[in-house]
Amino acid sequence: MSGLKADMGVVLCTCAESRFSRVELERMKSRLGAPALIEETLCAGSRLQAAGARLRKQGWGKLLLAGCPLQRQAEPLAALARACGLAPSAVQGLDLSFAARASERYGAARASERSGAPRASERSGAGSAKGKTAEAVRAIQKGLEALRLQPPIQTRRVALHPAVLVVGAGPAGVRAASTLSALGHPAFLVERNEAKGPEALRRLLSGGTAGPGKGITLLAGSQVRRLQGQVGGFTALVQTPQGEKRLECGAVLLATGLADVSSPAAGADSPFNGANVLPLEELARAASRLPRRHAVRSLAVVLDYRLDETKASTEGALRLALALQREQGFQVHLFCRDVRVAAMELEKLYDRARDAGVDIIKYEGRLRMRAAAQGKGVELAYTDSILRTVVSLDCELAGVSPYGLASAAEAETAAVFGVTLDSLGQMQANNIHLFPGETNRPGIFVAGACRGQDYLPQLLLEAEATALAAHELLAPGVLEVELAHPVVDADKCALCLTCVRSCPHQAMYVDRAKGAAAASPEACRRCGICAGECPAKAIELPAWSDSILLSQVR
Amino acid sequence: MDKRIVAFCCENSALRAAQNVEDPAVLEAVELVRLPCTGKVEIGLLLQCLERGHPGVLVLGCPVDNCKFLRGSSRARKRVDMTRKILKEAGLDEERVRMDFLSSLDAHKFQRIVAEMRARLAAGRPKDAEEAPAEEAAKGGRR
Amino acid sequence: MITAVQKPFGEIYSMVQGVPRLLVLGCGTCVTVCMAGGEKEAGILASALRLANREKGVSMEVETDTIERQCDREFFDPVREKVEKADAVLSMACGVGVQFCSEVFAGKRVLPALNTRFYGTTEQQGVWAERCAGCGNCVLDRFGGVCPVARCSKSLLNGPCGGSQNGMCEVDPKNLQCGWQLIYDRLKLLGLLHLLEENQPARDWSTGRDGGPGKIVREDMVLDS
Repeated sequence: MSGLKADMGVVLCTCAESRFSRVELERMKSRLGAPALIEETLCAGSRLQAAGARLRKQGWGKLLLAGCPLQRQAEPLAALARACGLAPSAVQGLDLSFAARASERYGAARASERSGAPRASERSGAGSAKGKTAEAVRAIQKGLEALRLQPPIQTRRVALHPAVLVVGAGPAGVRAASTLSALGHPAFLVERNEAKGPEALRRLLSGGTAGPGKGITLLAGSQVRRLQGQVGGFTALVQTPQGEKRLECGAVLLATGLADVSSPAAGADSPFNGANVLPLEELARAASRLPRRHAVRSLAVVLDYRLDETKASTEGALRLALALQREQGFQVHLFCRDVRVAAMELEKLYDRARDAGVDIIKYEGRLRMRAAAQGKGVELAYTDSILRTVVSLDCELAGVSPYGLASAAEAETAAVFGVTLDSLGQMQANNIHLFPGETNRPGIFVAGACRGQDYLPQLLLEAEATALAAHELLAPGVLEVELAHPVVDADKCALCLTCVRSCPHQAMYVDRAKGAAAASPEACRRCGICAGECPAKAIELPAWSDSILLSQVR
Repeated sequence: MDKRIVAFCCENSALRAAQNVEDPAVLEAVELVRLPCTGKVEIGLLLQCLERGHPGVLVLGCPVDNCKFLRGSSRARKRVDMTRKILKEAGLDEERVRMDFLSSLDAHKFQRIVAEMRARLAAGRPKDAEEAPAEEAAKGGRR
Repeated sequence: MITAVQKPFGEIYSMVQGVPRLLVLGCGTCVTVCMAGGEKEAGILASALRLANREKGVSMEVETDTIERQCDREFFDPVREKVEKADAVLSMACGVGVQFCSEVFAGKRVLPALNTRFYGTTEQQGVWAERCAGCGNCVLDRFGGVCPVARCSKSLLNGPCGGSQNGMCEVDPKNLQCGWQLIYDRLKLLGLLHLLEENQPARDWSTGRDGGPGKIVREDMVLDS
């Protein structure tokens, strides 16, 4: 491979795991046509600094680390880059296992290594010692070509504001805010519901950990109207009873709780009709207002209406059913698709409810509710799982567990923060890489029932863990960001907004001064989706440009 | 030199799986290209590989709901489907471009995918597309 | 903006047969936004043509380039040489661009790669919908911002026809919304339903397509020298 710049070099490691003998490495070094060093002890972390100093003397602007398992790990590579005084992208790792495995099955490499002199193989294909180093040399040359085509990449230091904005003063929000405040982060706790303000305050003070004046600012009856900026430097415009406030913070933690489905206008799929089909928490109050009659009054408690219920919500429903059943004159019918009693005490609770006379009905598929034919009430039509036919039951009132019901308010909140909802309307995309507390946006975290966790002990644990994750992000005070984010050619950019819409991390925006799209280096994750989508071919990722990718296709 | 099957590999899954492949035949058959995410691939890039004479192109990445960047894999799938549609309309074998999903531990799956691709290509049209024009011309000119 | 879709490949392919040197010319404005004829699509089409040619043993040189717009003369300057060298140009612009390219390079065959569709909006990424028919006499003030000409299949001006069912148009009851339902809902929201009481007289359609090829002149903007 001709034309390789001298400011670039290869480091080959001779450690036991590198799969190449010293002899083979020497052969590769001579064939490369590029400056190369054979290092013995790069893998041992303690020697990294010394190795870095040695490599620094070479004056290389870019470095390819090949063969050693070190290159498979991001941390050591970044550490090596720092030791050499280079940006992370300037040090690339190349795994040669693919090339090395070929001849191991034939053992040819071992024999020639022992004799000290390489034995000329009859076959020069992949299954020979010669083939093995030929493949490795080829792979290294490909890696060097990609590195050569990569422009020099700078780094920038982004200040991380220490404050955290916690949205929602429920158990998760309060726990998170307390944890963060105790670690020295000023915390803004924004709660939409004015009435919940005193309750939240009580929780904060009873927790003993922190309270207003100790770094937590509680804003009750307030809502975040707009969020601007990116991780480290968000600006939130909050509507409070005293007017609009601007809050600066480094991270956001969403703990907005269960969807507010009590409003009949909560969504097209909402079962609530404001009359006799109500959220479960309102059932007791509504039942107490029913006119007394001699005949038994039927009440329905509906679970699993949309999502499978959790143990926590099942427990709550069973307690309510039991309480109502014991009150004279009520017959409670509890509808569920599955009875989830696999938790401590839950089975006992179930038995007590049954013994008290609660009628537990297992249904299949969807349960339909509509106005009862005669008089007031609700007709519940369902497919009985035992009878396997459709059965109708009239009840005066039906209380539906709100678990899993989507609300238009959720979508609105998610839109304000640019957070992706999952298919169930929960405040976190359904992707394991985000669990438990991350969202699609760097710097925005999520905890509690709004992401589907409503089992209180677990919820509190997760809220704390997520708060710690936010702390881990902000603690260094500064973020070293590599400027390897996409570059947009302003001449070609048609402002079609495709990249802005496609970016999963909301990292693309319109730079009005340039009249073109641009990427925020601190939010960009360098996935390349934007570059792949752009209909004008205006976007290029410095480390993954078309020319680099095509150079790998020989 | 024979052109290899190009395998665009997501560095989070497919590329790691490739490193544990044991079969030397796979090593010889495949040209690995590293990607940050399969979401980086473009229709034009896949077609360019075929133009350069590569017999087939594989796009290998994380399962759609397991993409590190959330929607990269699913974007790639749509683009590969579009590429196959274009190939079909252009009169080429759409099987020459294919996307598959695997995890970083799926070395065996990687091998199987490559083996199946090779078998499909061998059974289909002639691999070396450069020969085709001469053959067609010999058969009596263009359409 | 103007929206367009690429012609089926088969149609394009037979259109360019017999051209020894073809220039595929993309356009960087409307057709880029509706993802039919921008630099990316031009590159893809050129690749597809080359692959199809190779497959069929057709010898053809296919070059590609993209300019900002094909409806303004000056933008053709950077590709003047390439156009002159080519035997034909496959323009990825809308019908306006194809024709203008033809005018600018008189004597050069310019072929259309796209079917121009309508003036529309991006409802969401990948979905474009018609909004305006270019009738030349806008009456959106009387209909709450929903156009009866463009969004009613029959361009009725005095209320819906009997084919409006559940807010959908009988032309395509599954997918097409009834324009008049939209007008009604919007005026209701705005508290302006009384506007519908005004009778719209028979319309003079000559202000639009039916009046023949149009022209606009701004005397104050025309350069004297």
